Order: sequence, then C-alpha cells, then structure tokens
Amino acid sequence: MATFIVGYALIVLVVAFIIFSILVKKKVLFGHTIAMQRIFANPLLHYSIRRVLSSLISIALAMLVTFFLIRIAKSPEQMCSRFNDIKKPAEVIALQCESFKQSMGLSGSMLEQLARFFYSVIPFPKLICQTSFDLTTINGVTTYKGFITDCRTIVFDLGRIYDLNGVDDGTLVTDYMLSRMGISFKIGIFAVILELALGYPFGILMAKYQNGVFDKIGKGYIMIIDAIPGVAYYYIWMALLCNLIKLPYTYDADNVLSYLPAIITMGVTGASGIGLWVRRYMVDEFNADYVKFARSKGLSENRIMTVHILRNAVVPLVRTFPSAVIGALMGSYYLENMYAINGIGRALIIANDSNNVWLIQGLILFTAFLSVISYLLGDIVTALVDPRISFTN
Amino acid sequence: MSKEKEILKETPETKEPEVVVDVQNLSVGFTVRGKKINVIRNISFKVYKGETLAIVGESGSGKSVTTKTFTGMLEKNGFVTSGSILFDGMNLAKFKTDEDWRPIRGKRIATIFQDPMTSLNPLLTIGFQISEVLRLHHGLSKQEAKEEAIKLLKKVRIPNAEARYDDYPFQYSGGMRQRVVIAIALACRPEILICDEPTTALDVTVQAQIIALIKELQEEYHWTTIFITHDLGVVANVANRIAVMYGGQIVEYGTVEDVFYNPAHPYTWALLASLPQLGSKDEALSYIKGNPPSFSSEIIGDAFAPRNEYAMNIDFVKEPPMFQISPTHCAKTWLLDPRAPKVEKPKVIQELHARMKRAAEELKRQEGVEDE
Repeated sequence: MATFIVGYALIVLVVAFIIFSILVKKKVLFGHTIAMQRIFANPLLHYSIRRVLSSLISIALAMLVTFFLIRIAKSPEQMCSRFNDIKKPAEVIALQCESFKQSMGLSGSMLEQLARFFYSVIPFPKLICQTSFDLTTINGVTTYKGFITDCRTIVFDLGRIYDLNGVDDGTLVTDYMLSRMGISFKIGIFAVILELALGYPFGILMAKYQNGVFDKIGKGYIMIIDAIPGVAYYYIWMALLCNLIKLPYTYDADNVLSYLPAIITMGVTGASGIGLWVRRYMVDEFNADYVKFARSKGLSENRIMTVHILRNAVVPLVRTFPSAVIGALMGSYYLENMYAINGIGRALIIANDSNNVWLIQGLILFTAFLSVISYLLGDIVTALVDPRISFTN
Repeated sequence: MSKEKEILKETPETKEPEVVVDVQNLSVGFTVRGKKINVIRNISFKVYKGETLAIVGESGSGKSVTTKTFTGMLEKNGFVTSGSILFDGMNLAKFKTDEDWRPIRGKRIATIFQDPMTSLNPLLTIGFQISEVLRLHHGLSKQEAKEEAIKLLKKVRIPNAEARYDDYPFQYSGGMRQRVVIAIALACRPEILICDEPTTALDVTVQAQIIALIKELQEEYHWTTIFITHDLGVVANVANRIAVMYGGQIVEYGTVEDVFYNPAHPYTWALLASLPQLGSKDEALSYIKGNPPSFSSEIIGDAFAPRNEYAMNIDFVKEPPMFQISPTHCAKTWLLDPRAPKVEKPKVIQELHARMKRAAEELKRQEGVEDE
C-alpha cells in the first residue's frame, strides 16, 4: 500500500512540476514574478526536460529492438533447454516448458508479450505476482497446476531471474541488478578517481615537456596499452599486484585489500587514455593566439599552463566526466571475471548463457537509460565550464 | 625638388633623441624541415624614445619576426643567428629562457596582436584578464586590481565598464575586444608598445577609432610605439619614423617626411604608387608585379631586383649597401650610388606632394559630410 501511494505521489509530482514549469516559461503563470521566472523558466531546466522527454523515444526504441532481437535469437527450445532430460517423456517436457513460459510472461503471441513488457516497464504502481506451476498427475494424465506465490506492488518491473545458479531463482531483475551494480560501483568509482588523479597530471606533464623524455616515455606507455589486448594487459597487472605484492586474488566484500587489484588495473589503464587526450588538447591550445598574448603580458609559463591552457583544454574533456562516473555503475566484464567479483559487468554474459530473457532486456534498458543520462549531464557540465554555451534555442 | 629641400631644412636639426632600442646587424633564422633559412638578414635600426616607428612591408617581409625578437616570442623553430638588440643596457638577442624574458615581457615591452578575436582567452572574463596583469606587475590586491581595471576600461572607452567587467570576450565586438587588448597593454605600463597590425582584422571605421585611441594614449603615457602594418595610409597618421622592409631587410629608413616626400628606394616608390588614396580616377591603380622572394634559396643581389622596373645589372649580382641620404634618412639601393644613371621617378611619386594634399582635402570633405 505504501509503495502504491508513494509511487503515484512521485509520478504526479514529476508531471505537475514539468507542466508547471512549462506554464511559467510560457508566462501563463507568474509571468511577471522574477524569482519564479528565474527558477522555473531556467533555460537549463527546460533543456533538460526536452532532452529527457525526447530520449524517452530512444529508450522505447531500444526496448523494442532488444525485445524482438532476443525473441529471434532465443528459440523456444533454447529457453526450455533446462527441462531436457532423456528420462522424461516428451510431453512432460513440453508441459513444463509451457508452464515455465507462462510464469515468465513469455507465452502468447509476440504482440501480447510486447504489451506485457511495456506494461511492466512503464513506471506506475502495479501488482505483480509470480505464478508457479507444478506438475500433477490426475487420473494418469500429466498436467500442470498454477498457483500464485508472491505478489508485490512494484512501480517498475523488469521481470524475474530464473535458474541462474539456484540461489537467485525468482528474485526480481531490478533487485538483482541493483545489488550487483552496488558492488561494481564500489570498485568502479575508486577506479575513476584514480584514473583522473593519474591521467590529468600525466597528460599535463607530457604536454608541458612536449617531445621531452617524459613525453616519449608517456607516449610509449599509451601505445603499449593501445596495442596489447586488454585481457593480456590485465593479466600482467594481476601478476604484478597479486604475485609480487601479494594482494588477494579473489574479491571479498569484507576485505578492502581485495578491491585494490581491480581498482588499480582499471585506474592505470584508463589513465593512459585520459593522459592522451589531455596532452592532445593542451598541445592544440599551445599555439593559440591567446596563449601568445598571455605570454606577452609577462605571465609565467606555469600560470599560462594552469590558468589559461588547461581551462580551455578541459572543455572537451569534462563532457566525459559524467559518463565515466556512470560507467563505473556498469562494471567491467574481464576484471570481474578475473577477480571473481559479483558485479554487473558479468551479468549480461551470464544472462545470455542462461537464457535469462528478462535480465537481458533489463540490462540493455538500463544501459540505454544510463547513457542518455550521462550524455545529458555531460552537456550540462560542459555548459558550466564554457560560458559560450547557452541553452536558449 | 626645391620644395623637398625646403622641407628638409624646415625640420629642425635638433639633438638626436634618446635611443630606446638599438638593433645592430640582427639576423634571424628558422629551421624548416631540417633546413635552415634566413628570414631576417642583417638589419640595423634604432627606436627613439617617445616616438612611433612604423615598420611597413608586404606579408613575409619579416616585420613581425623582427619585433618578436624584442620579446622572445619567436616560434620554437626560430632563433637569432647573429647581431644584438640593445635595450636598457641588456642585449636581448642573448636571452634564451622564458625566465630571462619574464621581466621584459609585458612589464617593459608589451605587444598588441593582429586578431583581437583570438587574442583574449575565451573562457576567462575580461575583468580577470586585465586584473591578472595588474596583480602580477603592480602587486595590487584583488579589489584594487578590479578598481584599476575598470578605470582602464573607461580609459579605452568601453561603455558601462563596471557592468561589463564580468563579461566574457564573446560578448564583445571585434573593435571592443581590441580596446580590451589595449587596456591590458595599458595595465602593463610598458616603455615600449609593439602594435602588430592592430587594425588589420577590423573594419575601416573601427580602424580609425583604434588608431586614434593608441595615439591619444601614447601622448598620455609617453611610451614608445613600434607599429607594424602593411598599410602606408595608416603610417602617415601615426608614425614619426618609417622602416620599409623587403625580403628580410630594411630597404629604406627615415622620418615620415623623408619617406613620404623624398622616397629613395624603388620598392618604396612602388608601395606609395599603389596607395589607392593617391590614385586619380583617370589612371589605373598601379601594383607591384611578381611575388615576394622565397627564402628557401639564398638571395643574391638586391632582393627586389626581379620585380623592380629600375633594376640594373648590378642589382642581380651584388647586394647594395645602405646609402645615407641625410642624417635621418637612408636607403639600400644602387640607384643612390654616384655612378648610377639618373632615373626619372614614377609620375605618382613626382606628384606625391600635390596628390597627398588632394587626398587629405578629400578626406576632410568626406568627414565634413559625415559630421553633418
């Protein structure tokens, strides 16, 4: 009941807020109240509203495409492969398969399934129940009997997990993803911080001593990282960190030390890319007229570097900040596999291998949503550092 | 001819003014694709205190490169190969690192560049960019610097300076930006101001305003100006002395009167003859045929010889020396050699005085019309 009220309250609030701010902007309401105009007619706010609304279309499209692709790729036999057993009669398998598909919302025509999918995904409070089926033999005829096990009010439903490893059977896909994402983020966010903390000074120093020894070593490092396949490179770090420095090989939620190998590997690798772009954008700025003018004003080289050049070089780079942080939510497949981390990075592969249709759909939907958000945030952050960008049409 | 002599006599032969910069036998080279080319070839000239020296010449003649050596702003592949630049007892040609240059740049020799659209940092406010200099060179606090910067903005006639202090360059027009650039130069309180084609990127009406502003401020602050331009029309307005450059050399050097009333080098003739202000409606505007010399191969003889109607055989063989015409005037052409045949100057040059008068009257009349 609580979810119901809160869910509806939230939806009403968001819709009311959007409508209200549009009305204020059109000067239907508070056309002459400066404070209200400043808050609700803010170009940045309306730009964000426009972007979010229009991105709903792209998200819906992504949903449609994945929905159909999965159903083309995963044949009914594949989905029911776990029921295959030579000891069982064929009709039992067929029955089991049918009941399973029904309980997972995978039965019925494509359109029916699609409607069900959109119904569960569109965020409004609804009662979602899980139906379990058991085989019963009545009068020598094997049939199945369904009974409702678990009913919950859910605002945003992405279906359930089935037969992953026995443990997660029946958990909601959203719960499953959130818990895994938490683990990935715990490691990813530190990796991003390390990446930035290493990448920026690295790029700045390379640019400052362009064509010097440090620059050449740095460029060599970037080239090596680019040339060696990621996996091979990760194993080199694994050997360094776990064999030489004796850090734990496997992830253990209670042991902070065991986070380090993944964090360091990810951070050091990412730093090379950031360093490359920082260097590139800074070198581009070196020959700019304003740099010459700043020098002719008598400013020191360090001041020109930090106050004048870096600020300009950073403009195209800040756009990637939000996506880096949000990217930390998505985890890394290789690293999570290597260090046995139960993160989200492996989830898509696991979902595909176990034919978890709903989990695949959920992951793709979530990725699409996150990338929309990170692009929007990227635009906003860029506008904050570059005064030339304005959000009025 | 007699008139010219009169004018020369009229200019009083007072004591030579104080020399601020003394350039002696300066040569500058660049390394391009592993090859060394000489771009400035053995030039000598003096810059006098409180005066305006105009350096004129077409693109690639070495005007900018010459002044860049005064503040160590040569491109990375450029270097002074020989000669000296004496400024306040120092030889600037010997300066190497940015550390060496720091006390000179801005504080003593400031530069205004050609393109005001790109001279200012697009992401910093106008106010920040001015007060940055004030805090650096004069040790002002943030608040003092702001007050001083607003005063400077008013001085260069930025309307509503207080409100525009926090604006960004993109909110200013080209002319306004050049005013800001001038305000920054002012903030440095330099002894020498190098104006590297400060009006080339601006439209004509704004050009006149900017030049007037520079002149006016010079009178107030008594700095020395080095004015680089390829527009002789601008020069007549602002300069005391003119150095005409061609092919990396100074081919004629003298006071404005010397160069405008008694030009001696065929290149100066050609430049003057191609001024549209001095042409008349019934004759085609003359222009200099051919291209400026390329520096990739060594220049033999007089660099201007291939384009020179008055070239003699010797011009293609031997470089002419600098001939002193008067104490203030010299030119680098074999025509001044006593053995050279007398040549008839082009018609425009012969009539130069009358034509300039006419052009000035024309200008006055037009301005009168505009005023009404």
